[in-house]
Amino acid sequence: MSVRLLLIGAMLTAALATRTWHDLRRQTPRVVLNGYQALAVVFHVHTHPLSSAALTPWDVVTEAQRAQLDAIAVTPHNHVWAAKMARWFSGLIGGPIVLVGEEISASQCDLLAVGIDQTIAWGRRALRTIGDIRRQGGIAIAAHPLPGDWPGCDEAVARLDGSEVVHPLVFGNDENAAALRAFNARGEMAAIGDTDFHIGQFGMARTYVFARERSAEAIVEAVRARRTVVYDRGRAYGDPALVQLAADDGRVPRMAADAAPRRLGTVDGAVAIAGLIAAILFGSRERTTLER
Amino acid sequence: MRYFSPDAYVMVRPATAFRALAAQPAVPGPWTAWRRPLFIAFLLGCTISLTTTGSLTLRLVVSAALSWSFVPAIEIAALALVLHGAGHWGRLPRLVDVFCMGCSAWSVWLIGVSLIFAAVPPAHVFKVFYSWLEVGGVLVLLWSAYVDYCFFHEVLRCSGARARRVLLVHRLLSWIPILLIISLPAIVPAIVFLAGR
Repeated sequence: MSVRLLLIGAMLTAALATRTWHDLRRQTPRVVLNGYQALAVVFHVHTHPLSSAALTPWDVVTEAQRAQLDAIAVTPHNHVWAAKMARWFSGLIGGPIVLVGEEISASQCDLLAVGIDQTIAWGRRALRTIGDIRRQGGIAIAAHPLPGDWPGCDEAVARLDGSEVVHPLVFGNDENAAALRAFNARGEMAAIGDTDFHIGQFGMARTYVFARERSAEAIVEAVRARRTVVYDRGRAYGDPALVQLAADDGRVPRMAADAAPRRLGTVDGAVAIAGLIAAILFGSRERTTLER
Repeated sequence: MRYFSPDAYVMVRPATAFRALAAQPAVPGPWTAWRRPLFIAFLLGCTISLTTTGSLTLRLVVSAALSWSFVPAIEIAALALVLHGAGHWGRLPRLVDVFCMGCSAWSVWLIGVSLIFAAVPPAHVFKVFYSWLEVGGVLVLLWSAYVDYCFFHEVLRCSGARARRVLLVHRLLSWIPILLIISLPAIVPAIVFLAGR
């Protein structure tokens, strides 16, 4: 083996070993306020395959652990089998609570169905879709309701359990942020902060749900009762009494600040990228004619 | 190009590089057909680990490399299908190896994705990523089509018109299943809604 290949291998191995060594499961802090468990939840997670995402159902479970989330709703596009697989895997490893869900393409309105068990038909009007979600005991959340979705979502405002007010779309875009807040203000909806994970940092935005116990059913009940708080760059949304309660205690806002999205760059990541570039540019040699 | 890999040479000057590679005698070893497809799967695993955590973790690299290995597998299956009956079957391992050299533009694009998620602040990361996806993706799409055309023209000695046809068939055979595996349940409603407008 040549020195060149040894160097590339050493760079990649060092990068891999460094982070794998530190890739240990972190303890998710437990906060109880006024008898409620303050649970960090992401309600909008896509998986691979069949939902345009990078990570498999089992990877989103381990990433949720690493991101110190208490629960995730796995919501692939228009099917639930990946969510069931994630729930099974999480049970196997003692991971976070996994709620079965899907992102339903309703007519001009994307809806998150959370706490369901069977796939719900897509392409119908929002109101009818919410009826199907409710019949399965689930909750309906408007997914990234930007003004283009309002005509389709409007008829359902009174029956929606929640809407996303913080989403990666609002980072660096005040217009989107204002639109999501405006939609949430159109009805009595729980404030939801979601990652809408397809690719990138897991848990960039999250919802603090004030649940009576640590269970999927209690999370669904808490959203139905609008007991949620969401933080974004120093601002808090959701139930004003819970926002105040959390502010007085201080732990939940601190957890939210710790979980705020930050630049991912690390030294070992830079070494890994350099190693991969070197592998492509210098990784192999074809002697004879190419050297002329 | 003395110090660079043939992959880099193919990326920059595909016609000349493929002509040179086709002209040189090569004795395929047991790893010839496997090494580059495996590297592509490894690179996909690394990209996903880097975009998610900013670093390489064995947990994500291995899992993502396995779960995304269908991409090189389908590319090669499609290549085998278009080569079938064209008298190239006997040198398939070498042809797979040379064909995969043409993936280096996509490899660089993937590393760009990793770099964006590692280096750009979260407030701007998706804006930059979508620009890279749209502008960079289209450029690589066009350039990689030319690279593969050169492969069919220079290495398989197809005429210009035949090379274009084979390229199109290969693209249809490989990309349609890949896209369907990635996001079939989102694609169908999107097409239906677009058609209904």
